[in-house]
Amino acid sequence: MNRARDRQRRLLTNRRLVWLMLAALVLGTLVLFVADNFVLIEIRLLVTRVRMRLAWALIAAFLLGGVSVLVLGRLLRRWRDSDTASG
Amino acid sequence: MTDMDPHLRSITPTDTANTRLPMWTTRLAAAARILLVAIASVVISGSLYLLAYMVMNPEGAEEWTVGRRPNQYYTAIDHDALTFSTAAYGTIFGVAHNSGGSIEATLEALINGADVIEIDVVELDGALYSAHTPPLPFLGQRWFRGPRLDRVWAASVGAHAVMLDLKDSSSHFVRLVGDFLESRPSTRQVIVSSRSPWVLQLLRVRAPEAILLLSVPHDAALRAMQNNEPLLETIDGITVRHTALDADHAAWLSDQGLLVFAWTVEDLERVNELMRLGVDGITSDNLAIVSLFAGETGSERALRRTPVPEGLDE
Repeated sequence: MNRARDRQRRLLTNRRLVWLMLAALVLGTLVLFVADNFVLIEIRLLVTRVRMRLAWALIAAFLLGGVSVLVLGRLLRRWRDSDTASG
Repeated sequence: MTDMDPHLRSITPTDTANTRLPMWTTRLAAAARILLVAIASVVISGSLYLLAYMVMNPEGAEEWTVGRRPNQYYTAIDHDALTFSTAAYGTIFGVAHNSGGSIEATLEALINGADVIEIDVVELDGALYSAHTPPLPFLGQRWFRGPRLDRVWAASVGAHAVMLDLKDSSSHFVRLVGDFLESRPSTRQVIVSSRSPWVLQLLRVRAPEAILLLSVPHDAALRAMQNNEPLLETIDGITVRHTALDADHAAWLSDQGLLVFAWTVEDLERVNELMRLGVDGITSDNLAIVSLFAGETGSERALRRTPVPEGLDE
């Protein structure tokens, strides 16, 4: 009995439970957001035009922005570190 | 105690602390954790399924979220396939399918000479809107972006007639439609279609000037209608799926003096067949077909009306 309970606790730690609930919250909110912005729009990209759902466009812009900040941040930090080391 | 798993240590500082708690508290906590896991799992799997559905079937998802856009298009017809004169095509009422789904589609249909603007009518939060499918309860009201019926009504003022295709049959909805029609001037030719005989019988009293069409989706419904005497006295005609209409049915409908509208016809060959069967109106998504029925001067044929039958009280 105690062994089974211990096994359950080991599998389902508080941290894992929090992550699971956080994932549910994020995914649930994402579905509501996508459904709310599922209108079809035309995006003009200087030389071309793309028809897509507003929600996908917003998510793509969000992800692109996030990745750009992450990559640029790392590059800048590396550049600054190498500058400090050589200077 | 010393060789205890670090995970366990993080949630249960000591075994002795646990033993001090009553058994029912421990069980309650475990049950709560299992419940949380179950809820989270359902939300996660449901959300992943819905997101996949939205990616794989965007048109279907559009219908139950922001509302389906009219499927209107223009594909030029083969003029060699025209078997009737322009004047003969002009006697048919051209109905622009679901063109009331947006103001832009309504105006585009009118520019292309549509005789009739079809508006699918639903109720949303006590008001009438144009939508092919009623929005989902609660959240659907927030997501839906279709136009209000009064806006489409105003935009379609240049059409010979407006066709309201009722997508609901509740008494509250019928009352709203009756109020709407009563509050509008009776100068416009209004066609109302519904699959429910009961709705049409109520509207015969509320909107006596309207042309009432029974919407017939299949052959079985057509045969059921043929045996329904009170219904035949109420309606002015039918609007039928074109595949359900054959020569025998068309002859019977003609004998009864009923108007016949056929939906949704996308090829000219079938248009010619239906004209030979004697239909009065044809619904199409293709604006080239719709504009064919405008003829040179537009349709001049008036829709017939049936007087209110006696003995029908509100």
